[in-house]
Amino acid sequence: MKRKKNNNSVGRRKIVRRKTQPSAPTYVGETIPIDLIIEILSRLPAKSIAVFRCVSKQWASLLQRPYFRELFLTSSLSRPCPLFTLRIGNKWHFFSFPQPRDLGENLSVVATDYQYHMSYCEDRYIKICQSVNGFIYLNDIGRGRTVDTINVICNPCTGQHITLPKVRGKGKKKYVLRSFFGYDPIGKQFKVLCITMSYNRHEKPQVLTLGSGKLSWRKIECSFTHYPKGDINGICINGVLYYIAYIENSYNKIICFDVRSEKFSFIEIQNAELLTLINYKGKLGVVLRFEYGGLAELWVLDDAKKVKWSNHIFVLANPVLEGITTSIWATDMGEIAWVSSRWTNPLCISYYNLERQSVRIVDKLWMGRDHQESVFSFTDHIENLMFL
Amino acid sequence: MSSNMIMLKSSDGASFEIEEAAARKSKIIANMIEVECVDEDKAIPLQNVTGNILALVIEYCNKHIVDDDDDVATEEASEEEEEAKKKKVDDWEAEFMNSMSLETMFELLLAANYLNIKSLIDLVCQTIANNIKDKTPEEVRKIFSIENDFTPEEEEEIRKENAWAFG
Repeated sequence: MKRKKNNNSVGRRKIVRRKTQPSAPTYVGETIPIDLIIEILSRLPAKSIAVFRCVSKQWASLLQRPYFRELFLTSSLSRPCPLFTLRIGNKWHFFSFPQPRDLGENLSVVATDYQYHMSYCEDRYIKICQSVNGFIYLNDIGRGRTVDTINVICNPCTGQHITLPKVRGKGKKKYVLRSFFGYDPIGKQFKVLCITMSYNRHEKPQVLTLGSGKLSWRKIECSFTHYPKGDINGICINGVLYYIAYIENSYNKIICFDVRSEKFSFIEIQNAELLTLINYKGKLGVVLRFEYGGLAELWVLDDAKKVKWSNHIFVLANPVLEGITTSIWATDMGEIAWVSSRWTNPLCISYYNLERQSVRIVDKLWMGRDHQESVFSFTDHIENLMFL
Repeated sequence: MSSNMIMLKSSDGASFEIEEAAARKSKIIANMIEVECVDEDKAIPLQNVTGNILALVIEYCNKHIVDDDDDVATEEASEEEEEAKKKKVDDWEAEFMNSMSLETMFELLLAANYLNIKSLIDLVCQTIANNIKDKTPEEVRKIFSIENDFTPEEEEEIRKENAWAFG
């Protein structure tokens, strides 16, 4: 048996050699099978995908297929990049740029590194932006506003956006409202959670599930009354939506909303002032301090079930810390990055190494001549070609 | 020791000696070894891979078999060491791919696909993607020898739909 196989392959090899050697060399690009071409294309940025739609009819149809979009998303998950949202006039712009790879020395990112995706025209003062699985949720902060609040979900990759229906509240009373965006990776569903409150009465939270059919809000149960903290973003990691909230008499609770089961729970950090939440290498990171003016720390939730934390001292001048709670994120290399002022041009991005306790890179992003009103950044924006 | 070495023969007749552990990076060769159709005295003929490409494949496999061994031996390694090691491999891979022409990359991709070496397929696909990401549709057609079967009107329509990307 063994010998026979060997003989066979030797024989085959001879035939092939006779066949291939005299033939004229052909250009290799055309011999690449389609499945390998798909592998290559799935690793491109969304911008290239859009351009390559006009290569040929075959490519155009290939790049539209759900299978390809799924593959693209998987590949995109491995290369998150920071995304900036900024407002120029009454338009919102999204920019992303690749995470710098050459760590260890100072470098400048040039303006051409980031991409313009889309702008969404809206007069209202949109304050909260949250990026979940490639989709971006924009909503009004709603300070003292009525429930008549604009909530928009958009996909910068496809330029598509949808406006969510209004949240219904009782009567004419004003509602303080905060809403958050989450993704359930098991059921592959996006949901928006909305906390509505009137001045004298706690309302049931409401949930909206994205998908086919008419979008509508429905009420769900929550066993404890809580008030989400001002303008701090929520963050969704592995199907759990986290946000800082006030319960009883302090802001030291983190609400955990399981997007799939729609159950609430909370984690408490005794005596701490919670400043902001970040996604630290796929885990929940909390920037906090124990006294005003004291050193900030980064606590990382290593084990969500047992509530096990690891903490890192995060030495940062307090005036800086005050201004960066909406523009701080962690890189996939585990560095803390932030934009210290939204008013400068270029924007300066600082990277903080937790082990060495040093700021080691400052990137400069030139934002063009226009004045920007607000800058937000996201830790883990990924590109997603799917439609809403 | 010689029992751990196996011979590979390229389509143009060049022979290469390679450690069995390195050769096992290829699922095809690993399968051949499993079903015992590798004769110790004879070279495994690889009909679809030329000598110069096979040399690259072997260079890659040799480099990565060392890394895999390290992973097993130093399970307790600190995060910092892990990162340093990963950076070393990344640097080596960048250097390895750096000097290659697009045509060589395609040949290497076909070889990696034929030999079924997943990590090499990933590396080459990513490098090709980085290479072509800023190209125009016209340049891409040339690279893949694709005929433009759109009418000018149809192409204009698609360009309009994706105007943001052409800016």
